[in-house]
Amino acid sequence: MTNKLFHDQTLPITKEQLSNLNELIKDFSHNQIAWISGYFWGLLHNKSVIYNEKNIIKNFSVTIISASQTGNARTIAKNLQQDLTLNKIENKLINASDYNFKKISKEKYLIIITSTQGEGEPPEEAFSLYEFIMSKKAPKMSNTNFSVFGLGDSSYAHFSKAGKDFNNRLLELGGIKILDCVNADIDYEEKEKKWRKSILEIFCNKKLILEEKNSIVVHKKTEKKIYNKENPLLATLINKQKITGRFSEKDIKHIEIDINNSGLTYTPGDSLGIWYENDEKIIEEILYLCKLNKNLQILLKNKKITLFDALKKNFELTVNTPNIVKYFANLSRNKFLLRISESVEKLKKYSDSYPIIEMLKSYPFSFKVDQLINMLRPLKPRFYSISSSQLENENEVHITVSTLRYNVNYNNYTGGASGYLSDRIKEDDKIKIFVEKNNNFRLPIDHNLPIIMIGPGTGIAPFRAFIQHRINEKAKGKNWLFFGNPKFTEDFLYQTEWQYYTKLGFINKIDLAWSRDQKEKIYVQNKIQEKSKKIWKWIQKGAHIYICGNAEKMAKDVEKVLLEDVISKNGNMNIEFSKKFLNKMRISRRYQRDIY
Amino acid sequence: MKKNNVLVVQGKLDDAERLKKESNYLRGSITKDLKNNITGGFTGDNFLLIRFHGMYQQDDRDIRKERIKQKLEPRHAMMLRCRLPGGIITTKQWLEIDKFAIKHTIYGSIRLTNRQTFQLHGILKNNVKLAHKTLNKVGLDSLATANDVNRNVLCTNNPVESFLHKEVWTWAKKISEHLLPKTRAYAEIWLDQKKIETTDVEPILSDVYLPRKFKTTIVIPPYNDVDIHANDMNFIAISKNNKLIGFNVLIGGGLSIEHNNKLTFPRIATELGFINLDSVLKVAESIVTIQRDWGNRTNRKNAKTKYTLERVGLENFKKEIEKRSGITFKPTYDYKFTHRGDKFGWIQGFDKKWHLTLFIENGRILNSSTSKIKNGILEIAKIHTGDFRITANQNLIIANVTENCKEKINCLAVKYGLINKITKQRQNSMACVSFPTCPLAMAEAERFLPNFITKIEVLLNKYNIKNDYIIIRVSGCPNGCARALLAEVGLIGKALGRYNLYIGGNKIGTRIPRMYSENITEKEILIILEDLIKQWSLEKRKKEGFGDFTIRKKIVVPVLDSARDFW
Repeated sequence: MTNKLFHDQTLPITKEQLSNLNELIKDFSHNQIAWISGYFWGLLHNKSVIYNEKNIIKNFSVTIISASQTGNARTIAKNLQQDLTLNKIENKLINASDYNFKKISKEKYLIIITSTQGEGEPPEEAFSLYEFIMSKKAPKMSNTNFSVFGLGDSSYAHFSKAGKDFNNRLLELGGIKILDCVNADIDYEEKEKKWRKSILEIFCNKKLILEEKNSIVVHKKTEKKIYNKENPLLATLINKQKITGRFSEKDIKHIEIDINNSGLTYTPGDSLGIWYENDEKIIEEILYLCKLNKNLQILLKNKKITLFDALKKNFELTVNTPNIVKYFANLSRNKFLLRISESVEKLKKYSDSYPIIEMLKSYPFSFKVDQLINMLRPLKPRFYSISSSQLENENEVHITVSTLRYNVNYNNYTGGASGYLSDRIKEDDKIKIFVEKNNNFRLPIDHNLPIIMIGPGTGIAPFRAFIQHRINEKAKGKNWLFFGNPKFTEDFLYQTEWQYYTKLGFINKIDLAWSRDQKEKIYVQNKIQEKSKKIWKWIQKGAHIYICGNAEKMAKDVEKVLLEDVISKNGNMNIEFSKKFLNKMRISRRYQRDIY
Repeated sequence: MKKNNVLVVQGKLDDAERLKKESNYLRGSITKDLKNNITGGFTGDNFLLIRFHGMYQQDDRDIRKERIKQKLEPRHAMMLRCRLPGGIITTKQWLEIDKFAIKHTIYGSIRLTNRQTFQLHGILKNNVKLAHKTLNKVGLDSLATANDVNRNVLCTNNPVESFLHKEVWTWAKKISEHLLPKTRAYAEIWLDQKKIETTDVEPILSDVYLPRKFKTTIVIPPYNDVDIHANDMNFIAISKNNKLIGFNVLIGGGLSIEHNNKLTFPRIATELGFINLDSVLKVAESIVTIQRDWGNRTNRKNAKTKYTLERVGLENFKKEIEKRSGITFKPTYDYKFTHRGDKFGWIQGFDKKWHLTLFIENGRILNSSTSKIKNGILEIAKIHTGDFRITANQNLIIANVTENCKEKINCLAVKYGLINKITKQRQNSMACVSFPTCPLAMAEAERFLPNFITKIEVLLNKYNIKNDYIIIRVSGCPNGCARALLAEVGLIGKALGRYNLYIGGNKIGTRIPRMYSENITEKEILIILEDLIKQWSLEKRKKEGFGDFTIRKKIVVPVLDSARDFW
């Protein structure tokens, strides 16, 4: 592929020429560029290129989606692809499981070939696509010409149901049917041949109205609004999905938020600020323990609101602090608490072990409203590294949330924000968000540079954004991912996406550390140690190194290995120099961290 | 089926043929896949190649859909099927297998199969090499227990006629070894044995192996526990004065079909004649090489020996065997089958040793909250001086127990609930594995059978025939691992909760049942069966089996020549 050519730095033109060229063609479509490449080739070979219809590469491409259980649908899809290719019709064939269905409405010509299994269900690989298309989230399909080929077995009650469903739903969504849906029985071959012939006739016959309808793309001029902490965007949560397996000890959620028409923009590396709301059960319980009425009106920032609402949106209720314990000790005059208040360590230990609610349970006290309000800290937004790129998901922002769950005195608690995101907020609910720029965690400006991404646990989030971004920018630089978590089968976050990126060649190297899959614990730093020679080579080639995740342990351990094994050993320098080396990388923005 | 006498079917070869040809004697790029860290499965051709090494790639189908949403691949894990000619396993081997199952498999179970071996389900890719090394350490392997080779060789378990059994079992072992692939791929890939310079040769199987799976049995009449008619090649032991003199040979049995595909059909095996002992390996080799050369390599659905035989005709096939082996078949000796099931409890052999046959429901050896059968068998293995035998009905025999050990073993068996009162109906029922691990499964089988049989027991009770039984088998798909198409009542899965109902096989397994009702639910099945069981209870002749009854009463037309009258 062309990727390779660029890596080798054997470009026959200068960087400047290249960037001029890029500038020139930046507004051209894919097809236009393809045509130009042929045009130049013709110039070079002294062949007069006549601008006529015959030479024009047909200005459309057909997308074939195959959804197969036993392989028959796949075979038919391949046959059709062959037909199209032989007739020089641009096309791409993609397995339903690999298909980015959110962009389905952008397809101009769409062919779906699907079998039906069991009680009228689509094949497993088409499950997500099917659910999406059938759901209310499905987009308008009025720019899409389509045809569906369904495979079934007439001895079942729901003959070829998946095919029929796709066909009917696409029609419902405004799609333009170019050929009636075919539902073929187990002896499908005759029908298949006939159908392929018809499809081919349609695409080859220029008389048919296949030219793009003059679809006027209305660029809604959305004002670029400024959203920030004080002025967050009220957005809608559109998808919340657990992405750890059912036998995982971790509960990690993938969350998608709709920002369509908001003007909110972000860059990979940025974080998403979230104003969360406290758990109503916790509020009720605290009010009960403090013997306060939830409907009491209080004045907050010159606004009158109920105590209940204030506790829900304005105060931190989950995390205890030494100051809170001390305040409460003085207020309640509790002997035990007063005693530990004398020692900073004991205070810290107590506040770390007992959330506010447990403290109140242990020492019930009748609060006055002001006393409670004064004891609590104001609620602060929580930040999550954004795990999507706007080039891939124009109207959405994604985050990856690990749910903090813990148990004190046989009571289960969740983290304030993670509990809100993971358990309480539902799809279609509103959520207050804003983007927190992070200019210290940015992809290299030069697309050709390789990057090394180190992100165990939810530290993987910004790297999903990075890769989406680089793919859409057609960046030629290589990508290497280090990821770790407890178990391969349960905790490989975004596994199928990484597999797909690997298959396409966008992830060039991937090293995985599963701490609990064998007797001895293995972490990302061990993997980095193993690969230190290769990492050093990448550094020599200008690689940028990124670390995201746990600050206290992981980031320190990784840095240690980078210094001692990667740089010191391979670069033949002592630790002192190795530190200077890494510092230089840091200053030139080649070593960036997003740690927490 | 159209008769077509061509010996070799011409045409575009099936993709499986390319795969074998390019595999470099079953190596493929399996080693590379073992290093691929982003998937727990094997990719491309290797997915099918590992089957030659005795493994199937499976996944937990109960959680397949939720994992798609979780952006996780299916939870891939391998099922490993051991090669165990005649089902004999030593206690030392058992102890290792038991340990491996607990420590290194997801499910922690040992699954006995009706082809007299055991399967370990749920081995993650990372543990696969360890599995083979563990087997190797105790003299076992899983070579050629799946795909287009001669699979595990079955042999009647008849501990009573101990001398005869021993001799016959030796033949099972010899045939198995004679027909094994000779490639060193297995040793290189799994046991880390060094590559040697010599090139591989497969004198019997060839570099493209067989066109399809190939199954072999040896049977000692009057038992037909191994179900000869489900197998490609069968040897019926003929003895005179308790001494083995030779075998009747039958070929062309097989039960695998595809729903509604009329080009497929089940078929019982056909008699060829009698051969002496010194001809066994030559004849076996000839049959295999003929199937190798004449089997249809252009269409896997039409590739088994049964189709070859129908295409070229029995006489041509037989002549070719005689030509290749240089022997002439003598007329078939008389033999009679009277039993297919196992005889449970203690029995004493001619050599005075004792044998205890344990009923293992579904062949699944697994501890649960209510039963500790796996522990029980483990405890027995620790003190037992004889061996274990896996039967073709998925049960286990504690074989060769000496008089003074008998009491101790009996105590353990009682303590761990291994000797329970089981109805004849339950003893004569069987299911394949199916969900959640089998990739082919269309409906539940192993998890469906126990409750279903309870409902049948209720019916038998209701009509006062609780001491009678019907051979009932449930297969999750038409591939037919449970041998449902040799049952009196066979259920074959169509979709979750739906089955095709087949009726009219016989007790000894020589008649294929016919489809009675298609794509029906358990409730519908029970309504039909209640009606038939009621009729049977009222109108059956003395000792008349359920299947025979349905034929006599013309409830179904018997399948007599399945190639032509099955559909």
